[in-house]
Order: sequence, then structure tokens, then C-alpha cells
Amino acid sequence: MPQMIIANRLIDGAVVFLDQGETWTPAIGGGVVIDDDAEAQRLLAVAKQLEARCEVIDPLLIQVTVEDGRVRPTEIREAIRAFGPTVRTDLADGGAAPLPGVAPGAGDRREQGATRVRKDTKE
Amino acid sequence: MYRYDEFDQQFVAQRVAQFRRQVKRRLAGELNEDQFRPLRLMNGLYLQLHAYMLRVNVPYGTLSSRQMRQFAHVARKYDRGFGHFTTRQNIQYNWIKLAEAPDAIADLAAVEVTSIQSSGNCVRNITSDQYAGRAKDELADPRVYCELLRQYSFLHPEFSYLPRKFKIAVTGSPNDRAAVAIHDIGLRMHKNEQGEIGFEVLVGGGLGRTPYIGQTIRKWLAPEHLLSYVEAILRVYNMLGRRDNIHKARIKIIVNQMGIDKYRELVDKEWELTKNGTLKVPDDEIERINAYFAPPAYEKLADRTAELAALRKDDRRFDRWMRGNVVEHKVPGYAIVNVTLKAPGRVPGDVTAETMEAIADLADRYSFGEIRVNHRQNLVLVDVKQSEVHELWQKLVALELATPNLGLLTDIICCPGLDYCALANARSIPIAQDIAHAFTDLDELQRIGHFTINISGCMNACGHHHVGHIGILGVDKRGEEFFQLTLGGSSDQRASLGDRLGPGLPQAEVPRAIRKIVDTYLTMREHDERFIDTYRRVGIEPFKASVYGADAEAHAA
Repeated sequence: MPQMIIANRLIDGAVVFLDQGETWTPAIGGGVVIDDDAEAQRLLAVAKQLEARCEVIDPLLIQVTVEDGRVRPTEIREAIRAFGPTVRTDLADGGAAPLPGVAPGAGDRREQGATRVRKDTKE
Repeated sequence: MYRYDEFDQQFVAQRVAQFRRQVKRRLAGELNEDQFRPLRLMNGLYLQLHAYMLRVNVPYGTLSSRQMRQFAHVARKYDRGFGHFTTRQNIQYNWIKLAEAPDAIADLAAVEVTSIQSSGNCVRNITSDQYAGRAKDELADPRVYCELLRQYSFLHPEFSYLPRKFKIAVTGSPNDRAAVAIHDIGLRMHKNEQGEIGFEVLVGGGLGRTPYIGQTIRKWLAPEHLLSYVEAILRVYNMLGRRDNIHKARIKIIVNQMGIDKYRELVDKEWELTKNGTLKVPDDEIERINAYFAPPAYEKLADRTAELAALRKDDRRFDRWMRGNVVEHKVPGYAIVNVTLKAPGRVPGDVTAETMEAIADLADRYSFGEIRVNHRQNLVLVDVKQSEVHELWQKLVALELATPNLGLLTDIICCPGLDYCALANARSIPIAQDIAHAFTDLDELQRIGHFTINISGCMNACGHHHVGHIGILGVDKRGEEFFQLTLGGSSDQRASLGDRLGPGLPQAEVPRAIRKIVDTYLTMREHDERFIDTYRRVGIEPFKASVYGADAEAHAA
């Protein structure tokens, strides 16, 4: 199953995702989706280095699905982290999740040609 | 109201400066998260799902309009325009930025409010009856003793690193509105045979993974011994409480493992050494603190019973609200007005900055500028002239703060749950909203009568689910949210833990299950018996059968 790296940004606690440039983005659609376990571990190690550099707290790998260009964490907890409280849709940061009570948004939509790390793209 | 003295003010200012330097060092990479976490927690700053959360104490649930306005200011300037009142009479902000946290804490300190000891293994905010000092049924104002304990336990070096957190609640009334039996120490004011006011002391109450109702360790304690006796309890706990397992570290575990008699023996032995020492509280000290809680300058007024009755007769909505939300005041001509934060669909306990300011204005205009927070996540204006109650009601209606459901089925306690909390397993707020939407008929709610539904999103039980007439606990079942129901819990003077009804239900089935429980109750109740009394009379089986039908036995097996 595809994975992503999620964390809280140190300075404000905001939920962020590791992106292709090995920096952090608050929109899940801008994060890097990883299909390969070894690559996932490599990027997690990168994320932990960024944690040591005081960029983020507690980076971890989460499982996601990508359907019709929309990314969604499989676990409810991570989906709520990605898209904000389901009871306050006006506060959504990362766009919308298909959770009850959440209005559609754009932050989970991936740009065409957005990076998706596969085994064959591994350096 | 108690004011910071010079020492408090200076200390809190120093603490803010210290925390500011710590945050700076953390952001500069001089401290890692493991080093920094205890420092931020000492200032009430948690990391939740979406952001940092700041928990701010409202000692014994009493605050001034000035403080409420500052809460609004903090919500607007440092957060996303709202705050959340909790079951511990605290306020929590959900979106505080680490870099700005010291500024937020400094702004709160400017109005004598602090987040110190709102987290960590220390004595937490001391809670009390929201009607303290105003209730007709109380013996004396419990806040005087709360404040005595607050001053004593604030930054107490011996008790700043207890095995686990420690919660104390005090009631001055035989009708317990402060849920004292589910606290580490619960203090119930009552008179001894000589007619002297003192405290029944309960110890070892608590909810969470291992819930217990507190047990009486001492039937009557003279107020002058309050500090020495509480210290003896704390000292025995500090020495013997487990530190190897966080789930077994609360005082309730040790009290229940060794038995209350043994614990009492140890406390008495310790107390013997100190009871007549420096901790003996002199009368003039009680008097000094008492002065901070002096009643406001009431006018000499007569009750407006006939006038209010006429207004109630004219307006059914006003009548409903009066019946539910307004409580008798001990001073003639005045009334206690509850401001419910439970309009259908809203998040229990959440208040926007604009509403906080509006409530502060109403407090200034109608209630001597004082506001109370109750542990059921509502607010109270405690000193309203009866002659102005109708006018105030109209203003509350305009602010959508006059839902007449106090103490009724939709006056739900609800923790933030998985929508905000890093510990939660399931969302609790949507359940509260679903139930509120399923019971919108106000006549029906009044027919059902006194009812408590308490919802927690995990077993840590911030939503007090064990002691709701209906308790709802969110659990994670293979990645899905399920909700376990308990029946028969209560946190009043006859406190009890709820019994588990059966297997967890998916979210969509919860309102229907509540409906079936209510219907069963209405068919079985005798006269105007409350749900809890019917439940205690008939037991769980009829309710189990109504929710699980023919499967009830299979589920029970």
C-alpha cells in the first residue's frame, strides 16, 4: 500500500507531509507518495534527520490510498490529522477528506504529474 | 474573587520569561523534544493531533468578565477564534503556535490566570461547585478552602513530582455538583454532631482505565486541619504510589489494593506528626481568604415570584428556560442563571471569542462581572436580579445561549475526542451532535427529565463516561470507530459507575440505541421517577433487551 510521511511542524504544531524536495508541506496532495518499502524507510530516515534539525516532531509513515488523484490516509486518525476536525470543516488545513461532515476541498488533489516514488525511480 | 499577590505575580512573570527562553532554545535546536516536552507540559502546553494545545486553569470555576475578555483576546490573537471549556473547569486552546505560546501565557498572566499545573504529575486545578457562595443548599463557600489548597499546593516542592496527576474537588453542599467522588481527593462539607462545619474526606476516586468511586477516609475533618490532612494523604501517596507503570500510578490503585483501612492507618500515622504543626490553619487566615470571596453589594430586594410567574404564563419559551436553566439564589430577589453551551449541533464546551465577549458584557451588566464554569461544560451568571432575568433571557436567546436543556438529555458532556486529541480512539463530538439532533423536541426533553449523557473518545475518560446515566465510550475496533454504552452511572452524592450494556455500536446506531433506552425508561418509570432511579430499581436487563433485542442473551453470554 502507498505510504506518506506525516509529522507536526515544530514551530506551530501544524500537520505537514514530506514532499519530493525533502521539505514539508501542509497539503497532503503536495506530499510524496511512496510505493516502495525500502524507499519509505530511506525517506523516514531523512525525515528523522529533519526532526533532529528541529523542523518537525514525530515523523512517521502512514498508509494512504490514491483514488482519482486524491490522497487519503487509510486510518481515521491520520485522515483527521490531514484534513482537520470533522466537526469544524471551516478549519480544514490540508483540504478535504471523504469523512462524514467534511466539505469537499482541494488540498488533497494531486497536481498532474506530481511525484510518486516508485522502486524504479529510486536513486 | 482571589487576586494574585505580589509573590504570585512576580513568580508567574518569571516563569513566563523562563519559558520564553526555553522555547527559543528549542527552536534554535539547543533542546530536543525529549528534553523540551517536560518543560512545555509544566506550562500546560500539549501537542495534539493538529497543533499545540494550551490548557489554562480556571480555579474552582470562577472567573471575572475581565478574564473572560482576555480568554477571547487569546482565542483571537493566538488561536482560531475559539476555546473549549472542559470537565475540569479549564479552558483549552487548540491551535497555539509554539513560537507564540509564551506571549499567550504572558497575556493570560496579565489577568492573573495561569497554565502552570494544568498538566504534569502535580496537584491540578482544584474544582468546585459552580454555584459556590450562591447556592441556597450550601453550608459555606467551598472556594475558600479550594483557594487555601491552591495556595498550599501551587509549586509545592514536595508534590511537584508525584507518581501521577492529582485532582481535588470540594463541595460545600450536600447536593454534589462538583463530582467529588471521582477525584483523587473529594471534600464534602457537612456538620458534625456538635453542629460544626467540617469535611468528609474521600480518597481514591477516579475514572480512566480503572474507575473507582472514592471511599471515605475520614468522616469529619475540622477545617483547621485541612492542609495537614491533605498533606498526609499526599505524602503517603508520594512514598508508596507506583512509578513503574503509568496505568497503576494513581492514588486510587494503591488505596484499592491495600484497602481504605490500611491507607487510613498510614495517613493517620503521618498526620500525627504534623497535625498540630505549622500547617494548622489559623482562623484569621481563613478569614483573610474569605474576604476575597465576599459577596457582591447586593441590593435589598424582594423575590419577584408573582411577576416572573406572569411572564412565564405569557411566554412558554421563557417558562421552559426558567424551569430548566434558572436556579434559586440564597439572596432574596436574585437568581442563578445557567448559560448553556449545548444548543443542538454545537460542540459542547466550545465558545467563540465573540461569544466570550458577549458573555463578559452580560456578566458586567447583569451579574457583578462574575462568570462561573461548571464541570458539565456550561457557564453560569450567578448573581442576576430576578427583575432582570427576563431581559437577560432575551439577550441570551439572541446569542443562542438560552437552550433550555440544563440537566436534560442533550446537556451532554463531551471530550474533544479524535477530532482533536492525540489519545482518542474515536470521535466523540459527532456522537453528541447526533444525539442532540435526535432529541430536539423541548417538550419531550422536559418529559424525559433529568438525564446525563457523558461521552469520552477513549478510556482516559475526560468525558466522565463512567458516571453518565448513559455513558458512551469510543473504541477502535480494527480501524473502525465503535461506541460502548454504560448505564446507571452518576457523579452526584450517590455516585456510581455505569454498567456495560453490551457490545459496541457503530456511530449511526448510537442515537437509535439512546432512543430505545429512553423509550424503555418512559414505559417503566413510576410517577416522575428520574431515569437513574428507574434504572436502579429495574436493573440493566430491560434496557439490554431494548437495544439488542433477541440477541441480548447471546450478547450477554
